[in-house]
Amino acid sequence: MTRSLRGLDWLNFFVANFQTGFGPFISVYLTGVGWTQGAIGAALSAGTVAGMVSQVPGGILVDAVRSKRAAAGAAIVAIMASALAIALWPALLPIAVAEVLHAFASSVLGPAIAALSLALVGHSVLGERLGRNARYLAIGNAFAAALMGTFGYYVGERAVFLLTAALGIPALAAIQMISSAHLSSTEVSKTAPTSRPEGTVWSWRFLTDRRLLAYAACASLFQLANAAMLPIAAGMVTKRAGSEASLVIAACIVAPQAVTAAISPRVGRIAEAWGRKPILLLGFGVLPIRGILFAGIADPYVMVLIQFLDGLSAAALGILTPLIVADITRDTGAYTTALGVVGLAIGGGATLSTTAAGLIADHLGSEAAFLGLAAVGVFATLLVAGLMPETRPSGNHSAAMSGASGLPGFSNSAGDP
Amino acid sequence: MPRIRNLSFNGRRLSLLGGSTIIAGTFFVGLAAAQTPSGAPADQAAGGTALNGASLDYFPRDHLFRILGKDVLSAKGEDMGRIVDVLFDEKGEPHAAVIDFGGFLGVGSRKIAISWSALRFDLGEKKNAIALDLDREQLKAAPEYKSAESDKPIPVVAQPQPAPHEPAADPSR
Repeated sequence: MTRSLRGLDWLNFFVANFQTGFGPFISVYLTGVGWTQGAIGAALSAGTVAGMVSQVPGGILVDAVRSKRAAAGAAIVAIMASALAIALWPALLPIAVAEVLHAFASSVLGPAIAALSLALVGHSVLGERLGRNARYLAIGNAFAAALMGTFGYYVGERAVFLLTAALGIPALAAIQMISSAHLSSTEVSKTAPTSRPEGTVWSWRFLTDRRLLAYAACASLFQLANAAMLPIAAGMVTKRAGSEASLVIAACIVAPQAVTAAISPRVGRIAEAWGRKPILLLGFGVLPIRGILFAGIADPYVMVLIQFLDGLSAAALGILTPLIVADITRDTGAYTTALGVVGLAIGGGATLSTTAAGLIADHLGSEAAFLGLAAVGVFATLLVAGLMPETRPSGNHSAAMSGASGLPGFSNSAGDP
Repeated sequence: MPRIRNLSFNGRRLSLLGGSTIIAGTFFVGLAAAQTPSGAPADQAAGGTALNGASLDYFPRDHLFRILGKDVLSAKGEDMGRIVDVLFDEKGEPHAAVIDFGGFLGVGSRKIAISWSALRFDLGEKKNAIALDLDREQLKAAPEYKSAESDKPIPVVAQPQPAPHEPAADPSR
């Protein structure tokens, strides 16, 4: 079992690279190979649209397939293939296809890892496990940013994509470490429908769950307030810092990852002991503070310090999204489909965020954009406070009510099948 | 981007090199002597008939280069970004280069138009880069170039001039 859990750690670590290389960095690479801005925009838009469109189908697919390991493995192979295509064949059609393939594979990989986590540890300690996932993902992200920055600078941008493809191999090895013997509940329930409780035939009924809709709305607003903050802040660093601007921006990217890596396991345990909502409120509440600080502080080095707050939000949302959706869809067999629905809401919020905040920044200045994002953050926090119920299974709810003094995180394991 | 003209020089023949699907500008930097290179393919003579009277010249690879994606360095050797676009005036002369400036892994960069006269192409050994007579401190506060804002003047940063010089909008706009 330890080996399987270690495998999941490493899987999270190595897949982090898959996000870094395909983000804004791809436009740097395509510029370097002589692409026009119009062609780069078209290829990236294809990826963005595919990323949105594939969220729900990706979740449905992971729910439907028997082996979540195979789903994760196939997604990793697809992402490796798209990284190779980008490195070796930088023409419009291959790049657009690679971007779309990467988007679809990512929409499978995320839910597959969440499903594997649930199948490995069960509902009772899922929060703690997701905390570990978030820690290794954050370390992987920081590692990837450092590695790719170095590689891009000294070897060339093409090498970054070859490296991304190569890092898929240890990710596949990590999946191999996860023994299928340890993957209990979810996988079994797929193969043996009789073991599922009555009325859990897969249906879209989970979509009418108010808690899921409320969380999707809150998470979407979170990204609406959050996604544009780093790009606009980084743009201000470019404007205000001298030759060290790139390093300051790198620090702005890595700082929150360090915080997330440090606090995630604790956040996961607290979510089990105290409930989801306090953490959710904390993660959302940090957002307007960050926006106001960014609006008021011009010093590029202080901006790095403000970015530490982002680590708090990232840990909270990174852990609570798969955890709350697992709470809500328990025994429905629709866990990853529901994750896809929330993922679609998050993606929509993020896309709208950069567009809207970019427009505000152009016409009214960066400070106005940050204040606008902060206002959305306030609204999102109020929405969480007013709309979002505690989703932690009621078996240990009473325990949490009576003891705000910090309970051990395992008190609910007795109530778990 | 309708206002960006085709990357070609008026009155000069261009030789189209390479078969990439994304055609970057191919600029002609050779001297007149380069127009009669040795080692041209044997079918050059036949070009006259095959092209129905149009003439065909071949140029050594090191006399022409693509400009999109070219690294731009300051006089101090600082990395100033990459050329992502070229803006031409109505006479067909290049007026400004748009560079992607700053950032890390694509985060935080922005596009700045710089005067074509601030660029130097005579780097000799460093064929992969173009020199710029401006440094980071002079560029970092420059306004962003936005190809979509068709109703506003284009800010172009130029190197310091002996006479007072303001970064002016392209007069043809």
